[in-house]
Amino acid sequence: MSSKILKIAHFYPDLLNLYGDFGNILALKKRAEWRGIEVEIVNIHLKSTRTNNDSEKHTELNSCDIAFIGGGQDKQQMAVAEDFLAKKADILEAVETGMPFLAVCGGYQLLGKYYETSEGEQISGLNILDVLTKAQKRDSGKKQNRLIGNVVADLHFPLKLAQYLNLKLSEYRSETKNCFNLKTVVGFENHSGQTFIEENSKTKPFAKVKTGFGNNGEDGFEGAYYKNLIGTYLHGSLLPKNPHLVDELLYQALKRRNIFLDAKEWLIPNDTLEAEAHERALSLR
Amino acid sequence: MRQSLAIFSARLCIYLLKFFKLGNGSSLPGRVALKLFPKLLLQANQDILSRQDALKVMVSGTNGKTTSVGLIDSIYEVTQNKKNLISNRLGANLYYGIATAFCNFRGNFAEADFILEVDEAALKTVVKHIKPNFLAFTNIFRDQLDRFGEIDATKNLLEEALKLADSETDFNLILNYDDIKLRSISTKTNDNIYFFRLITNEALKLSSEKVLDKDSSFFEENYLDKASAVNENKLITGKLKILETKYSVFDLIFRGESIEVTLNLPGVYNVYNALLAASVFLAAGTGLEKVAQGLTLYRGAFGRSQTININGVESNIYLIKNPKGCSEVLHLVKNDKNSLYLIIINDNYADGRDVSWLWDADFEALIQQNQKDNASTENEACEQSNQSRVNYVCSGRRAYDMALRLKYAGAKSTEIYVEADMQSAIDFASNYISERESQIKNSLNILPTYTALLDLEKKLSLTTSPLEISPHLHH
Repeated sequence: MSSKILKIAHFYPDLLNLYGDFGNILALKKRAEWRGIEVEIVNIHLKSTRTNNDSEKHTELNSCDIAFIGGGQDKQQMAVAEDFLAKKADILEAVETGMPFLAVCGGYQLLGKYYETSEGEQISGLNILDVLTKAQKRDSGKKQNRLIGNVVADLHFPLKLAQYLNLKLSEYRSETKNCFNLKTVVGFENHSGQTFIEENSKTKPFAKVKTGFGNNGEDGFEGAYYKNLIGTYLHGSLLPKNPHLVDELLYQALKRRNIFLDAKEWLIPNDTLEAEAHERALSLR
Repeated sequence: MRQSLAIFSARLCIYLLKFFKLGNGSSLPGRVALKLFPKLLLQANQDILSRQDALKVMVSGTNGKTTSVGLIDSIYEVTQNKKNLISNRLGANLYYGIATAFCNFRGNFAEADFILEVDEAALKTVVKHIKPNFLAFTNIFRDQLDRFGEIDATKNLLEEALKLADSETDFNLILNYDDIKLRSISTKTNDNIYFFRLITNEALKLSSEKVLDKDSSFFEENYLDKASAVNENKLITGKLKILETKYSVFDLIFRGESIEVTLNLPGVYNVYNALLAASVFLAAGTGLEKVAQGLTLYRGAFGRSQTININGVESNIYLIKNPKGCSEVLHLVKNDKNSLYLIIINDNYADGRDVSWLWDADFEALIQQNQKDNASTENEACEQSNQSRVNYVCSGRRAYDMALRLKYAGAKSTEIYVEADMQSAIDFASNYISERESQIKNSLNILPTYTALLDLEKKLSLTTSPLEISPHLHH
């Protein structure tokens, strides 16, 4: 029990920290600790790796179990783009081996194929998610339309832990407010870029929008996922009000290390506030 | 003729709104007047311009506008024996609100002065019509990103406004030197810029354990940046000496002279507001004594660290609206050992629709301090120890977001009481305190967002002016 430690990699915490991203890290940390799992947070900074020393070929990411990248202002995002690209090999390896990786807003865009500016210039992304993002054209002197507001969406990302627990703990399922019954995702979006998922790709939509704009305000999808890499525009912060998602990420991280908790070990006493907050958010406009 | 008709209509509008209790009428009358006479403000500007010695002040920036304007008003009252002031102390700081302020003024514009707080985004429009001779910026922090998009956008807005204000008249720019974003703001010339700054890193005389937290240093870049070339003649310096929960003391230094100022407001952020207010008058040639006197006389605006009485319970109200300001408030109030906290979070347009900012504010500091204090009083209150004790009441449209924030900052679920309806939450909180008299809690700290504060004002509206709630209310 005591030997369980999860390491969370937080990319560029001092540059991409615009929208309460700390809440996401905090939700992962607390919900792990409440299950007796220790958490260590590894901050990954600009050029904090890739020294000339050959023995240090890898980023700290390889020793981590979960990764997070947030969003920043355009200027900060440009500053990290090159550095992030240089770390692609490690990130790809982590994703392919099933590491839970949450990328919000700007981080989501960086993991796609490219970002096309309003002038038509394409900035390369890591090309791990088959998505592309286009800046809205600022034509005819019109105001740029940012996609802003509360979002409610039906989750498409599979929740394996919830399935397992609902099977194992039938008496628990009957409780009205528990987070393993949640099937939606709630958050707040604020972006000007429009993101599109490529057709016939291994990248799938993360959720289907019920309220709000989502990726582009056109096809009704929100976010994208490949294996356990999730890209999304939702903050708010995203994770505290979506505890089922936090737990799924923790479950996948432990599974990747061949650690399995008993069904009962997943239950936390007094764990209803999150589900209540989630349910309240379903009716926010 | 048309001007006076427009103003008359606006006043009628104000009267009707008040009569039918449709709000404090701070924006609609201006809108009506401008419909009838679009050149209302331009005309007023011409009238005021005709006087050389008119004082025309505008204050903008993210945090501290209302308090800064209150402090400027207070110095104005000390220095001027006439009272021909146009002011938007009701807090409506958009274009229409400012038009309302002009309509509310009873007198000849040619004899008037004005002291206005102006929203960052509205400033561009406002300065097209009305020209200030003192334009002061408090700071640029993250605030309402769903309105402005990004922090740099706020700076751009201010710069655009500067260009417009710059075009015709001479005016002085008052800037916060400690805010790197303001220090580097681009202007045509540096000749007219006054900077104010605060020195806090010298040995501070602090009572008990109230130490200036390292993490509460207001501007991170404060000491990193090597002093860039500033005209010493146009530099206003504050040297912080005492920082208490109800007041602060600092030395105000200008051109080699110094005076000690007692400010009846708590927190480093208010010392900055005082320095801004002082800078306006020092730049205008007022003496240090009068400036200090005016600052000391000021007692705070409604909801900006003001103490009132609710159902017999001493209540302090602190507006919170963005992570920086909120953290400052939390660092300040955490030292109140026996307070119950009522935190009211709304997500209306004026609050910012996005409540992500709650996760960037330092609620950990509050919870940790409370847990320390509770642990030390545990023995005294052992008869209570098994029973759950409420320490935080969360209310407003986003009561549950707030409750979650507190839980993840380390509060126990049992310490948190959620009641979305504000009136019920206030009643619960004040009853909780008065029913347990002599035990544990003896005061209420209320932390509302902007529209929650307005609702609170309405609920407590026992006086006509929302800015001057008397210290003793009777229900």
